[in-house]
Amino acid sequence: MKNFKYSPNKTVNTILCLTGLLLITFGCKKALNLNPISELTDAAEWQTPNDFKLGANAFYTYERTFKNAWFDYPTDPSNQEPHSDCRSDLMVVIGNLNPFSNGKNTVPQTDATYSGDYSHIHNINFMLNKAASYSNPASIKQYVAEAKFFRAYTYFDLLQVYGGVPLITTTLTTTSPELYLPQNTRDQIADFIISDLNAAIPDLPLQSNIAATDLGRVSQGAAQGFLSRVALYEGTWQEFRGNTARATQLLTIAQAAANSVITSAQYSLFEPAALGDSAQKYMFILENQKSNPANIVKASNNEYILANRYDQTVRQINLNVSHVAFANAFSPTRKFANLYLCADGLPITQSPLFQGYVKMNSEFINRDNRMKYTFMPAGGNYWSNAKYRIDWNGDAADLAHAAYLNFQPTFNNGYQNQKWASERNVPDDQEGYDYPVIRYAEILLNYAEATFELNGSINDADLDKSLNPVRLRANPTMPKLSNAFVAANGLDMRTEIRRERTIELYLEGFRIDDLKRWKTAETEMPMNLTGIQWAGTQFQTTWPGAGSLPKDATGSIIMESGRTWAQKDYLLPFPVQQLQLNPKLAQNSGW
Amino acid sequence: MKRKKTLLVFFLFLATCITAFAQSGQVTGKVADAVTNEVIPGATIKIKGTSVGTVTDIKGNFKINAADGQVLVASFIGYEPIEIPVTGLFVTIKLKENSKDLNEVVVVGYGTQKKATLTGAITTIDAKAFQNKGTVTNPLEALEGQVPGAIISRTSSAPGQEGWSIQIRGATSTNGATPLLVIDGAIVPDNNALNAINPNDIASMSFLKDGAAAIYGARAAGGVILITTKRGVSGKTVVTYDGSFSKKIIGNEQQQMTLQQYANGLIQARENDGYLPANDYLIHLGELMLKYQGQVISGINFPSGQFFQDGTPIPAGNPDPSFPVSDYTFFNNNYQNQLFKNGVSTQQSFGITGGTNKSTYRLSLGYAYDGSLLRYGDDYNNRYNIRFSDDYAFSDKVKLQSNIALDKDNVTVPTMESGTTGIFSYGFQPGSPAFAQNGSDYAWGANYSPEGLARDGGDNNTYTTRWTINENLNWQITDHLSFNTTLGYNPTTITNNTQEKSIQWYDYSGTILGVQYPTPTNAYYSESNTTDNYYNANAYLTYKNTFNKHNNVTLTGGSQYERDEYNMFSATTTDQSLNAIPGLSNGVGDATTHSNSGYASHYAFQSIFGRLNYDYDGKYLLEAQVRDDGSSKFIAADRYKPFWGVSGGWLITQESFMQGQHLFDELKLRGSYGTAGNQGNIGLYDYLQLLSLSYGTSVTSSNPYLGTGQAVTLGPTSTLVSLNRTWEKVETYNLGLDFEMINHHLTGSVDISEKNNTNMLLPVIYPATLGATAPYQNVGYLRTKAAEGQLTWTGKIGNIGYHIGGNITYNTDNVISYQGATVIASGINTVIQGQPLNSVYGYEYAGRIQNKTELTNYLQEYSTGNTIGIPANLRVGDNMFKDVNGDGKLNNSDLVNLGTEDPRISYSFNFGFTYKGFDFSTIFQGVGKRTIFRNDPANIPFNNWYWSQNNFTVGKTWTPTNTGAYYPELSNTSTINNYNYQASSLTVQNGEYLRCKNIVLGYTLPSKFIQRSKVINRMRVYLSGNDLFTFDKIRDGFDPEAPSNLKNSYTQYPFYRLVTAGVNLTF
Repeated sequence: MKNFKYSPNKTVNTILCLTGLLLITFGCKKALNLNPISELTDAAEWQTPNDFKLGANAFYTYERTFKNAWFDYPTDPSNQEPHSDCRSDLMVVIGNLNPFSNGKNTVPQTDATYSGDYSHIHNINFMLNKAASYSNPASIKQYVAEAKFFRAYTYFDLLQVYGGVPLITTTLTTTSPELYLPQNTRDQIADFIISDLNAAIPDLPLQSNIAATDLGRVSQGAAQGFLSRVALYEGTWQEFRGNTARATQLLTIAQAAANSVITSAQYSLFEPAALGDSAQKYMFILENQKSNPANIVKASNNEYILANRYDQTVRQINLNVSHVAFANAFSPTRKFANLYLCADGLPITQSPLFQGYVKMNSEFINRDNRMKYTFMPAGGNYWSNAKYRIDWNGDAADLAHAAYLNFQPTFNNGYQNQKWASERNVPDDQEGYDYPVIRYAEILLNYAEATFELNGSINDADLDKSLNPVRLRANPTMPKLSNAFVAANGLDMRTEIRRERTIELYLEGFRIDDLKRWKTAETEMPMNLTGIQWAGTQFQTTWPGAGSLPKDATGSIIMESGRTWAQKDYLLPFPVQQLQLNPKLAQNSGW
Repeated sequence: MKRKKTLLVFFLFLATCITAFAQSGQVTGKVADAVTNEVIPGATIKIKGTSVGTVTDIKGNFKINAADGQVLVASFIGYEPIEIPVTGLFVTIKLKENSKDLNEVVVVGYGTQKKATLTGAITTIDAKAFQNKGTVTNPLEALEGQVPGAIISRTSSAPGQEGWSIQIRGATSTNGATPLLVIDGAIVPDNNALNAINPNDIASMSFLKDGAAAIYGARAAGGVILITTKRGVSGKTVVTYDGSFSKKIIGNEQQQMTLQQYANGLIQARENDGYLPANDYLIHLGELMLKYQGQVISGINFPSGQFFQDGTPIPAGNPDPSFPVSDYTFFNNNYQNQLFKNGVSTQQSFGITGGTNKSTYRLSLGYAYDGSLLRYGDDYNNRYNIRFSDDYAFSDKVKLQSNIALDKDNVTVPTMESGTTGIFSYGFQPGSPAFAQNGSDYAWGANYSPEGLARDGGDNNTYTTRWTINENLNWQITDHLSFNTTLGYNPTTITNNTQEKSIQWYDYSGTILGVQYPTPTNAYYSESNTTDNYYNANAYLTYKNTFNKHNNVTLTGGSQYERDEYNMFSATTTDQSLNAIPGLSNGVGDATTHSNSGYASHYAFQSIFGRLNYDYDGKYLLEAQVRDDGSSKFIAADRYKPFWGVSGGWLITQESFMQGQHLFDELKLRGSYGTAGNQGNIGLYDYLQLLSLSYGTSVTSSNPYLGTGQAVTLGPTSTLVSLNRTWEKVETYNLGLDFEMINHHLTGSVDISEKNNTNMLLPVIYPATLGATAPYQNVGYLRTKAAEGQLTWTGKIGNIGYHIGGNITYNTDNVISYQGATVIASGINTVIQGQPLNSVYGYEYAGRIQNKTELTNYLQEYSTGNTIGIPANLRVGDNMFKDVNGDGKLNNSDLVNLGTEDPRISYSFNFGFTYKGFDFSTIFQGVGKRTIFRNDPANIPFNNWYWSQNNFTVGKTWTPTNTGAYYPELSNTSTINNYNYQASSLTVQNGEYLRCKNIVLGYTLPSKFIQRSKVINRMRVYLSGNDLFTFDKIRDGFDPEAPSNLKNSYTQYPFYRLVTAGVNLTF
């Protein structure tokens, strides 16, 4: 270093080079053109059919699941479940009365249902927009059809909750005028849903043509089945509001759509002989693990037309379903209990088989079998996911492990639920049974109702094609519903069709929407939510603590009284913020 | 002589860098104080006009090669430099002490400036700030209260997780605006670099607080911090060692109720709620605690009517039958003592410096260890630093400065530190042991011993390695023109490995419990690796000239390019067996238990900048600067944005009418205006539509299950493309006055300033039918006003030199426009239009309900339609709140602003003296005007009985015999508790404090004595203390500096006092 010699020229050259370099870097504007290196950009994707398949996959997260059917957090605007049975007359949530159920809900600032649905619609429109410019439309038609199915699915949610809403069919930007238009009419939304479904149906595969690697994807039957649901909903909505012509048009669609699912012969009710009258119960908790006494697996279930699929080793429900469903904080109401027919096909008010309420389990005797598999009759033995079945024999080992031996239902309102609770050994949150987004039983009942509402009557052949298989699956010995049976016993066909639907689809998110379309909510919803009959029954001694609870004239304990239902309650209000942001959005009437 | 051997190693190591010189014309000399005649070691001697120089040794002697006629320039900090022509072979140079160095330069952006002609608001801190402070893990730690205009705060006192942050002159944006950090002329993209740097390497820190920051353009809205590191000094090799050992003594911490306090309180709360002792589980529990103090009752098996061992029945109604407990332990132990102990920390620094007239070097090695206050578990911060700097003069005109530094910062914390069942969760009720009898981990139901979680739950290790490679070339092209270029490369690697171990839990007797927590399937091991490579290059020309003798002009212009490349990947394996060895391959689960992810990105900046400095006679000063910044974060068409500033100064003391007065030595008036940008909340690719690809990473993922597994999904990201958003532009105004008075004894400055962020980025809400999140837009407006001042008196009485001084900072902000968002909620409101940021809103406490009549009246008047949660079962002994607006209703419109969570005032004062070998100094630091509200259920006594309870309410709650108590009657009912303890003038706390930040007593051993060792030239020993005592008004025991929100996270770590013994050695 001592002898280091520098050349001034060299130094100067170096500096000039550096200066030049810097000037070049600054001069080069492209030095700032840095595109993402690990993130996907729109420009680079949507090149192959698989991209559209992945795009369509995202929409399957919009399917309803357990939480939507029977959870609701009415005070949390981001956690609303407007279709939950918690908002209906079938269920009472102990200690947490539901303002949407009792008519005390107010206009919220924000509403995650509204904004969430439009976010889904944005994502669907985004993909459809990409598909429109794709070079080989034939290769992606199934995914386009799926997108349209889910767009219809989402708009139907909006229609059920709010009625007419803004119809957005393209991707918007912050300057789009569509943001500030008034909402479309109810009819426009319904027609749009129907047109999306009709566009999707021909491009969707038959269930039997869906490969194992694509199980769970939307089938033609799913779109047809959903069309029957939409058209029945809107058809009856219009029918009970005096719009006969519109109702006829829609009910015709509903009947035809349900019929095409039936005649497609792609689906059947789940009724393996080995499970006998408990087939329906075990269908709801069917897993590929040992989830039922007969070791039957999901592949045997051909009833779920579209399912939100789960599996303990692939995708867990991740919700404490068994724990919450099993004799926990929400309870079925006495009204619902009383809806179950007796074994002779007659209502409890008419049937000689009805045993009354004297003992804690009297009312469960001689009833529709679905009652004992949905409720937890007193004195029975019950298992859950934590205290699970050991060998399904009901033997000593099994009994020793029961969650409840000789069950004493002396808490909540006295009625306890067991639907959706696993009986197999599985930790909380890890259950893996599917959620039926659309199941065949509903389509059969849609067919029966659409036919009846369309014609004002339904013939025995149509009943045998639709409603009776559903009823007889759980009750092989119960008389069929027929015009003769109705006439002989002074029954009402419409009431019986609705009864069957309410019993069969309990805790699947139908009840409150059914009451709305039938326009019967105004009579059904203000009724007290009640529990077991306490006065003059065994409960009086087994459950002294309920003595202080209020009772109705029958001596049943009142869980909630003073409920109301106003005409405005048939639709939920638009959130305040949305009205402020778009002054042309008109609030639903009465709000 | 072991020490000598060590030194030898260093000498060998440096052999290549040191050049000997032994040439003719050697001048020797001595430098001494002109007044005291004491020799001055370390003074710099340079030959004027060259880079040749040396420093005086311990005796004040120097040798230098110089020819007759050349001029020696001698200088030393605190003395006026002097020029002496070489006239012989021996010179004695007498330096005059000067409280102010007229030629003192301050590092500003792209260059230095004489402090005397500075027009911007710039504060400079020198190396002394970091001395004698014990282990300083972040330089900001030592600067708390020291920089006028800056508020420095931390979020925790846990080693390596202090979260030091600095805010210059108040808030700049709701999107955050951290000051830009520049080290040795190179921008550092990440302020976390401050955690890794060795404070001992810092020569000075400049804080650009006003429009002067505009030279840094788009990133300077939060101010700029310029760090200059120490450089070598030519001459004899000087080795220094600084070492200290510190004890960390637990300072302010919450105190938990004792077993007895807890039991009595619980009984009282339940009885107040109307429960009868005969059939209440909790009252019974309290009674058992009192009866069986110090004992264990085991063999309990909940639920179902069972009996304690002594036959006492366990009443029905156990609050949570899902979690069976197997014993009851009623020890009289102190929860805080179980968890915390005193700790230690240490730091060591070696420095070697020397060189020739052509080349100087400095090498420093640093090590710091910051230990834990946690009694169990691995919890520490280790820092290793190597920094080598070299100055090489190719010629008189061309010089190269090189820096290479390696900073390693390793932080280890227990993995289960935070979270609801973490170490700092709400803990057990009193009485629980840390461990079972045989030392294994104790659990009570689903409550796991925090000590067990700390000890056996695994470690989270973060290893940060930062390299700094920085070359700076300076070429004095002509007398007036110089060229400067800097090339920098800063690669940073952060690796993390975290193990969360499954723990087997036991009851006190050592019987194994059924539970393992975390479950083996949830237990995991993960590794991640982040590399962030940052390149920067800048070059600028400086032209400096004087016209007509009076007009001094300096022009600077240049350009800069920066680029950052980021890459991260991580991998996780769940399903760990008990006692698993950390390793990605050690999971026992199937393929689905292994997951990985990665991310990479880059960005670049391209800028040109320029500055003009003009002064007339050093009297009228003018400065203007401009910068045009371009960034890859915006679309090409709208990529460049200009920022500029202008400032002026008037050195009043230079005026003729000021001549002859003796009061002011210097008086300068300054004013400035500038604009700067803020890049908070600007994403890297906002201008592009990005897609998100999502695949299920576990059985709990929400991806749909299609076909045979979880399906991959693809879709647009939730935010729309943003083509027109740009940097927030912040305008800064500043007016300042600097003065030196009374023979330089009194120095000070005062500044007032205002910042206007007129296009603050805000989320704009559109109708939901948009279906996506709209991009932030430049539509907000935040105004911040600040004032600051400092004053120092330096003097000497006989042999005693002393100084006394202080500074104060005040700031306030107001959200002028925030898209009309004015919804006020109880508690802390981050942003409300028309109000300061982080305003605490609450109700006005209106006294306590003392009797039935008051109760009835209050309920009658306000119960209907109230939204403040008045419970139907309100009691005598509960709070009343005031109907502020008098509308007969208690609701949100009665909320009043109770102050802000951000401190408004920060101040400090210091005092020190030197006498013979002794030196003493002390710094007091404080904060005024801060409101603290802990929105934390743990701050409500007995709201959750199974948590440990802070004892701040003991004896201070309302009872019929203590009706004047501060707090309401105890309750275990959440509606009553939430009502009583909601944000109000009763529950907010005053966050003011004043603390003794630092006291140092040092002694420098007499040189005659010390030099007998032949090795050591200078030796100073000192004792110091940090945060020794604090005056505050906090009621719940936490440190007043701690953040408001302490919810079950490591922010609950107690603050500590640091007592340090240290030594400074020069060889």
